[in-house]
Amino acid sequence: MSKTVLVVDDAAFMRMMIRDILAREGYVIHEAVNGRDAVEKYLEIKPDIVTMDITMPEMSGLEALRLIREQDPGARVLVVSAMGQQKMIVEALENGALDFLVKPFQPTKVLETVKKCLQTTPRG
Amino acid sequence: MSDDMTAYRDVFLSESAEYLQAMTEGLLALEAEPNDLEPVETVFRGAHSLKGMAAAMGYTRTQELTHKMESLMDTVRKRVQVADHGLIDLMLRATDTVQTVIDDESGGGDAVDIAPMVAELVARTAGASSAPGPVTHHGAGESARHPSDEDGARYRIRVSIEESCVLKGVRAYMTLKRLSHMGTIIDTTPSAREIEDEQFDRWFEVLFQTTSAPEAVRNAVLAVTEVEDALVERVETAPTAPTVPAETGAAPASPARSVPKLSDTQTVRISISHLDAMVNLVGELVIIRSRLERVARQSGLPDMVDALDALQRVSADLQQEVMQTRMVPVGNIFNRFPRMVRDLARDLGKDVTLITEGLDIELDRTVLDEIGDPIVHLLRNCVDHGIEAPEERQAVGKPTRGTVTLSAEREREQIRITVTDDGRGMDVERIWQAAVARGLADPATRESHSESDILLYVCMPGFSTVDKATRVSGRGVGMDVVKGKIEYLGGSISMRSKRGVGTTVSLVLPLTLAIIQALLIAFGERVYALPLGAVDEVLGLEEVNVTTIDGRWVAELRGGDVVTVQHFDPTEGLSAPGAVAPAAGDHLVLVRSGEETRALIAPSLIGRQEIVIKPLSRLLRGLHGLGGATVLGDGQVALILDPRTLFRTEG
Repeated sequence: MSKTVLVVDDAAFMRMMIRDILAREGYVIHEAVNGRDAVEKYLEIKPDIVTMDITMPEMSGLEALRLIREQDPGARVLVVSAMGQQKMIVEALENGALDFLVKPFQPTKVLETVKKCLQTTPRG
Repeated sequence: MSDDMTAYRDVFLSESAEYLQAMTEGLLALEAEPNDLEPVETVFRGAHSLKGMAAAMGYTRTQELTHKMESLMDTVRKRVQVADHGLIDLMLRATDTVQTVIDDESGGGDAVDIAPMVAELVARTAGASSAPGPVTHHGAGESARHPSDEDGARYRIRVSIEESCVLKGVRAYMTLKRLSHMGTIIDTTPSAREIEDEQFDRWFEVLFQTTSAPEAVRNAVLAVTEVEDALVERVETAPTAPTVPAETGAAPASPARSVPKLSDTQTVRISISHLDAMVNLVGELVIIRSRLERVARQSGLPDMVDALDALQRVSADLQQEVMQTRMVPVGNIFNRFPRMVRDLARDLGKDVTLITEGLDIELDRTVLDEIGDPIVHLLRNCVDHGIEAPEERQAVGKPTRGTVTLSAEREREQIRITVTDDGRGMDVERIWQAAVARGLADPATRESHSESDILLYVCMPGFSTVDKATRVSGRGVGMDVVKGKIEYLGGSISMRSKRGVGTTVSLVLPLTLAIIQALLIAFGERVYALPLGAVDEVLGLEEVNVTTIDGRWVAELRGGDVVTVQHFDPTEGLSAPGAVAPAAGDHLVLVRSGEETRALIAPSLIGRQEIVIKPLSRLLRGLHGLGGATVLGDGQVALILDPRTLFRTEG
């Protein structure tokens, strides 16, 4: 059965890029436009993995990560960030994110990282 | 101890002190903001690094103690328990114990027993696990993964990261985190801090102890994204050979091949006695130079005058450099005050935060060493007398937590240190009455005293002995000592206070003590040096209009200002202001002393010169109007006039 991915980013362009990379490999894609939207969609869809942008309006990716993992300790979250956000990435990892991607990214790296995360069992 | 060990010891000592300081600051920050996880990490990492360093030095008691501190902080970190006042208190006392034990162990001693402190730490750590608080997502069961230092085998793991990796530091962090779930990270090269700051090229090394198989360790590391390779190599668990810690701080490196090159270091440690000797020698050089100049001028050798010009430039540069090496940031002493204020406040049942500002402002080491005690005194006064008890503050609508601010600012060639509190302030009228009652002030002169003048009465010797009932604000205790010290250092003190709002004490100090520019004046046979900082202008008699007002000799300046003429005689001292008129050929030197400027009669001006201040002998110290002595170019000793006390006739 194909895996579902929730792609969270406030920039439609970034969502489109990740969608294109993953959809080609057979993933089912859902999208959310900010942290709050991500939390709602997560609970509704229960995707296998979330790619989470960090800096977003309404609710940041860090906050969404915390809320999602609070509701579902088994949630797999992969944070996506711009360069120079090292502190936030570390904070996300502290809060249970499995891995991270740095923009701009190569398609192969996105696929590789998503695949690796799906093989990992998050510690609840 | 082997020779190698001795070489590392000094580095260990200064670095461990830095860690303990960082931990103390972290604990205080945590106490102020119990939900802030950043200081928790700082304290945790500090204990962790100290543990690794102590292990490398073979300081087993330090190692055990810091290990227990690390374990306790780990419970806070994982939110198994909160850092309440009791825990912070325990950790602060533990850092004190660590310092004592380090002193003991580094001196080869065996006197300090850590058992009681270890027992307390263990009890508090265990207390946490038996009654867990809110547990976060990744907390449960995690502590079980930490084997004790005695368990398992030790490995050196060399981890290389893909070249294309963008955030190597975070990858390394993920690797270390993963490893910490499988065993104990004893040490890393470079330090954990440097690794997280990406201060490594393609690879870093971890000294790791675990019960897991080496293959499992390798696979765990390789599972981290963008890790290129991991070499796992078994090392003996016998005491690790000490290694050279990196200059930038953090733990000593793992043994053998990965020792950081000493040549990487950009700084050297110089003993203070060397610096003092250098200043003295430069001082001598300045004196000899002026002597040579004198000889050259008298003998009229133009070539020599040229050469001396060059010497003048070089020696000025040298002097500048030497003085610069003696400059240290005030943070060096300011950093220990937050802890002191906290402890004092707790003893008194008060709630006080100390805010420090301008920590990177630099000051000559001799000045800095001297002002520590006065500042402690001012801070104690703030906490003890300035800041009210929490109930009292609440009653008047202030926040229950009082704030004391200690700041340093650079003002040209001076530094201003201010201590401000938001406490009850001082009562100017009562201080005035007390000063009158003690015979320190003349009641008739009330009008001519500004509020800040009156506040300064608390710095008068004799004021502080006023007993409790009439103690006014209690500010007086020891303030005479503080003022004396600051003035001895060539500084001044001033105060501002508003009832119910708070008090500010400002200290203005010279950046350096040793060498100053001075105007040399001959009074008869004797030569005196007047610090140029206090001289506004030197005027010939033809440039002013000398006249009398109410029987006093005054000089009317071109701008229309009128200043009192002041006569000075080496044997007689100061005459009454305006009592003596200048004679033909005299100059008038406009000297600032506090708020007042007077025209000092200078019978003969010798010129401007750099002088090296030599402290006065005990006999002459405190003598009115004198601030030290110096040796002139011709070998003659000149006394230095102290502009701050020069015009004071009452003493």
